Amino acid sequence: MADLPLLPSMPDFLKPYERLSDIELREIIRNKDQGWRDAYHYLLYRIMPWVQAAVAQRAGSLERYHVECDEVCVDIVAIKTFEREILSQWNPDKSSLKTWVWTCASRYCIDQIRRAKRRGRIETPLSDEVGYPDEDSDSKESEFADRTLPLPDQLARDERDQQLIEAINALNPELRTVIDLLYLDGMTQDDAASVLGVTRRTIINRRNKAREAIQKYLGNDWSDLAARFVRREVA
Amino acid sequence: MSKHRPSEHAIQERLLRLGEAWRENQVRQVNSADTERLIGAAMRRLAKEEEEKKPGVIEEIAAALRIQVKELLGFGTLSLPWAGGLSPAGALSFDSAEEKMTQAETASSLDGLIQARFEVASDGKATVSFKTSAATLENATVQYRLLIPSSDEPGIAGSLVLEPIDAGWWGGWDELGTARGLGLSAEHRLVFWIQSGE
Repeated sequence: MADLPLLPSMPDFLKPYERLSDIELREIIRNKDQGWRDAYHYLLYRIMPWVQAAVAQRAGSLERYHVECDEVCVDIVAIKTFEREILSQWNPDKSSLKTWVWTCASRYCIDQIRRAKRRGRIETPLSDEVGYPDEDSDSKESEFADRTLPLPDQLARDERDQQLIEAINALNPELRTVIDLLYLDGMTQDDAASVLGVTRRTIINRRNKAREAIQKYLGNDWSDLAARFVRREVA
Repeated sequence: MSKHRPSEHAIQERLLRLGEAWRENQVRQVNSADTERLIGAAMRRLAKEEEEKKPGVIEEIAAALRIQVKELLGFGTLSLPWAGGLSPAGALSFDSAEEKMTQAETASSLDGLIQARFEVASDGKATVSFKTSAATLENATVQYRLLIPSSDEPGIAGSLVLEPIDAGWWGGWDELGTARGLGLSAEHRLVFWIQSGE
């Protein structure tokens, strides 16, 4: 899928940076080369929507703990954090910058929620609302109950994707959470283990169980779909 | 007919692509006006952080001051008016070129006892000012001297009496002249010390 377009309101003086790759921009910023502030400013146009979208996924929990989403967005891209946590640790061989930014933003939100929870900033009784963790629950996993929303059908590129979405939506919350962290948030197994407070082995086991469940769910359907595609191609 | 089950690899590939499609779908729902606003806030934060870096520079200079105090004590060029202990004296280096000195130069502190500031205004007028607490000094005099360390040339010297500028603080200032007129260069150091009024 093509990159999303830049915001049209980007100032003209940042236009020269358009031709630079994320890696080149990173080097300018990290080395504090001439014009690094403009490079940083420009890079914000590339990545801020990803930060916003990632934070929006946790908006319910953040607001519940009285953490301002806007503040979180700005904190994530604040130059020190941005250099230390995002640019320095980004491995372009493993993921695109936007995916990495998403992952970092998700982790940051989860940290903020936990900190706020520890500080006792909660005021709204969680148990009054459907789909949120119990107020007294110490389970880290329960923090992700609000993420098990159905994936929208519009993501499907073809009928197999459609079936895959149905299969994911049918997973139990425990398995679905692991799929969300690994594939939607793009986290590593270690990250996911840390977020859920379980071992990496547990993450791998749940991921395998989720894949098996998906395989079972898709078994006959994919066979039928394959046959249908073959018939279409022949016709 | 055997069931056509998708391989793990096929599912993995589809999940990765689906994750990417999902993220991009979420990004499309972002309000671009909010994005602009947040970028503005981030840039303002950067400007503020850079502004706040100045204390860091001051700390560095304070450390440099302490080193130079030791050097100067070694030279024996400073009298120590304090009864016992180290006089809060120091030297403020000009580590910048002349054109850079047209910007307001830095404040420094020496163990929290005194703050000194050397400034060169845009018109080239150089001034020196000091602040310290009333508890530290009573009718004290600050003396200063411009030195070229390599030659130990005494350079320009002067003194000023600290006067109260606001409650609890004492301060004073003196005009040295223009940076160009004084022939200041990066080699110069401003040395100051405090003469107790007692």
